[in-house]
Amino acid sequence: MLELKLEHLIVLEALEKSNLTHGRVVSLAEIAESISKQDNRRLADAYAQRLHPTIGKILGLLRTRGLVFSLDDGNAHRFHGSTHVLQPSGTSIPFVQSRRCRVLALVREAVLERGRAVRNSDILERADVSEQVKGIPSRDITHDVLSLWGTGELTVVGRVRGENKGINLYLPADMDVDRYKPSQPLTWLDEVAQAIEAMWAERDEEAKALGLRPKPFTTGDVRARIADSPFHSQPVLKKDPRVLVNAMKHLAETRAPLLRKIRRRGQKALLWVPAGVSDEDVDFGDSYANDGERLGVAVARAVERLGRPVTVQDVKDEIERDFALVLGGDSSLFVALSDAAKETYNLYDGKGPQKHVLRRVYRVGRAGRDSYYYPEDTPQARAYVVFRQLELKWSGICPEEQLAALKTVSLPWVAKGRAMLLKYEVETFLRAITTLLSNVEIDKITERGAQALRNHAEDTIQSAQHWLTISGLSQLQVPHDVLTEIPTWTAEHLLQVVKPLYPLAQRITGTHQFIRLMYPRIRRVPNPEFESRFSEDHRKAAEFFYDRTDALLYMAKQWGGPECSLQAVLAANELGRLRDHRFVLPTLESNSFETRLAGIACLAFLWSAEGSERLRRIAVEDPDAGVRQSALWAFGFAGGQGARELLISRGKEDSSSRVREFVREALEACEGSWWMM
Amino acid sequence: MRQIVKRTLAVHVLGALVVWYGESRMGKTTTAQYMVREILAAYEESNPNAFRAKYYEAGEITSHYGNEMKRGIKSLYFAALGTPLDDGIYQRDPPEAIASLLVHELRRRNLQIIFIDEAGCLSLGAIWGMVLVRDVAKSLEWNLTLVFIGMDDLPQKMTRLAKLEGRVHEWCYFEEYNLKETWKLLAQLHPHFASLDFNNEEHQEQIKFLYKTYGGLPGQLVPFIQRMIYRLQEHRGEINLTFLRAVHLLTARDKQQMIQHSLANYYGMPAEKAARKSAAQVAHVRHKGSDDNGKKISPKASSKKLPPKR
Repeated sequence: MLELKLEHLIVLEALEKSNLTHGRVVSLAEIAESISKQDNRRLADAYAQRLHPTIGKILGLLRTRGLVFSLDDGNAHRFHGSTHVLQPSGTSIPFVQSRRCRVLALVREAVLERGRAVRNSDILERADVSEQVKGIPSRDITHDVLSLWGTGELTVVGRVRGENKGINLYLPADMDVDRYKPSQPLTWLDEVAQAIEAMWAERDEEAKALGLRPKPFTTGDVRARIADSPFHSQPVLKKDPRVLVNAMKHLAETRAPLLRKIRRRGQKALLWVPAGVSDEDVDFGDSYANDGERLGVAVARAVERLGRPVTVQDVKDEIERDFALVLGGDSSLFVALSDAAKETYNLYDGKGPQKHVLRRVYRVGRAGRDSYYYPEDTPQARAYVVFRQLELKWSGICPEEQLAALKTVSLPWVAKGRAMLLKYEVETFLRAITTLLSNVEIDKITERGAQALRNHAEDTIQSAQHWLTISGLSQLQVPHDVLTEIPTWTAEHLLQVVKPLYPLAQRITGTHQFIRLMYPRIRRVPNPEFESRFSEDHRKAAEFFYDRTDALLYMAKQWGGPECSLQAVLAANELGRLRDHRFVLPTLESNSFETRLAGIACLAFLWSAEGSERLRRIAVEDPDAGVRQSALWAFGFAGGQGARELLISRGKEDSSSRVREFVREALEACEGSWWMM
Repeated sequence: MRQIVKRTLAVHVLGALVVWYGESRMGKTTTAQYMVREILAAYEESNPNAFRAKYYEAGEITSHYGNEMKRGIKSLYFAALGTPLDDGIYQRDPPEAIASLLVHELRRRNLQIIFIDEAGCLSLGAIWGMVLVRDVAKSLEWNLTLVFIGMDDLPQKMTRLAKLEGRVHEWCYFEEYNLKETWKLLAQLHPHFASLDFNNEEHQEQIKFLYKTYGGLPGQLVPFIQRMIYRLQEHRGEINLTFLRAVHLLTARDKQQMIQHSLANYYGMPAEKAARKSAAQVAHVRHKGSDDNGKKISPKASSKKLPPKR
């Protein structure tokens, strides 16, 4: 055995091992794989060069000794064999494929497997199972893919958005692009992008055909377009609208954005256009001739959506859904709608009022603060408004509240009056609703609603009657009927009364402002003589009046002195909506001083001549000092004639020091106001 | 009882805070209602010293929920005026303003004493709100006495705040009657007992039996007398110890059977155990009761809990 250096022995041993393993001549890399780590270290310690050149050099030396032979494939691939293991003459050179070739073969495999051009992630997935690239790291595969693209052996046939699995779609250059280019979107973003591109193409084409500019689209338009997505079903898209919104946002915010969003003032919905399209190239909806047309369309759509006449708010909601309906003029929607609904219009050009050639909107009535509009003036539409008016009236009556309150009223005569008043009001209401139901031209919805109201009214009348029957108040000395007239004040009058009590009210110059502030603190009742807001008679110009007693109670509780507010609290609890003083007068004869006190408080705010006269008598004759004191104040507050003289006389003649003390305070105070006591 | 009435009226001139405390059935409510009746009966408009009184039972006002002072004042307001306080005033005005309003009305009605029963259910804040009303009345030179009546932890509550404790002018503890006092009470309630001889042993046994059974609690003795009067309608003989026992047992037996039934059916207790337990509950051993010689017996605490519901 020739004496070989240890390093030579290591390399020879590794060569022989590799030859035996592969059964053929081997490359330097294969020899290096067979060297153990320990031997690797020995070689590294012995030689300054790296491993492969070292092995090559040692093999050269071994070749000269005849222990090793080498073969060349003519492609700079050299293979080696041990003469002890292989026969030099009978050995063939193995076929060697470069890494790039193997990667290219891998891409081909991936394409054939998926039937389409592939992304980098698809190639790497295929690499996990392919023998072609066994042992090649993913990084190297990716590097080779890019290199192959660079050299033209792979072509990019398309680009994919989203999922971070690669943007480019690769296809070997020799494969048919038309066959392998994907037709379906590969990601959700792709699907959205394709839908948008298709939609825009259609819009553009339509617009060009008409000689117009294309209109921008909304998220809703895109959502409607994406019907069956393999990525997100319609229910999912409906449940979570953000899925689509986020996708569109992403498409607008990438480095190479596909979309651009447009936000317009007064417009709720976002508008989108392709990134390269400017505002000048887009039509924002000037396709309607004028605001009248827009309003007509808006009203018609709102009616269709809601199934009834519509209010200004309903029309506003409709306009916000479609930017094309946004009014171009300067008027507010309320004014524009109101003008559109008029029979005539006046341009103040000397021609006077002129009739609308084409009326698209009709005002069919008002219920509460809302005017109702309809595309046509039909009996059904008007009937609906009447129904709404009755609904509001019913809620104003507050029947359940009124019935419940009867239990808390301590004055039985007043309770009876309240029950009778409630019954009367509901009976009046019932007649009105029955009249509506007898109208053959109401639609089914209105009829159902009216029927339900009628049932409620009938139940309430029964409950009130039942209460009157079981309450045992039939023996009471009270009138058989109840006065339903309500003493009222106009807004102007009320404002003058409020101003001295509430300094900030001095700044209010107009009744409109005052009415807005007071709504709904003080009860208002319709003016039966109302003609028009512009009537010269101010009593006929006010559509509503204020309930005087309710106004007095509110002001007393809000701004009154202790006596005033206490009396108001007592009276409010007892009176409710009753304004007939005749039901209060019997309380003054009661043996209970508490009952008499409550009765006095009620009369103080009812302001009736008969009540004031009784108060005067009570102030002098009642045995209880507290009652006399209350009556004195109530008489003065109710505007009794000679209140001051009565105070002076009681201040001298009353037997109670408390009353005399009260009179002294009252004489000082009522120089200013009974309110402040 | 009369002593407590007198003691309360004695401090009224100060516009006082008074606390009445005692166990159930001691006669606190009866005393308060009696006082109110007497005061109202004695009321004369011409008498400058006359005034009115009001009794009411307060609802629970818990701590840490809402403005307790205002809620206390609102409770007093409703009791005195019979009408709820306006919500707007309640929300808007501070407690002292509402207190002023209330005092204004109390003065008009000449209401000077208010008995607040079940004051143990009130929170400390609510009591303080009521005291504020009294303080405001005092500042306006109006005598307003508030009598807080209750059980539970009322005395501890009143002493929890030094400023509150310092304002209480009189503390009245309702104790059980002793044997002699019970005899006197019974004598006033029914002529049979008035006719009994203190030196007669059998008569003594009758009183002792009632005292042992019902303690010196007027709230227990008065109903017994009523039941006795009812049973007398069916009784032909004289009233003796046997009769008194029978009157007691006729009700006690029903009570025992009711308790036994509910223990067995509602709580699922075995029948024997239910019978024992119900008997023990009905076999009345008075807390703080007295023996035959009027000596107090130590309380026998019952700490057994009822079994869970079936």
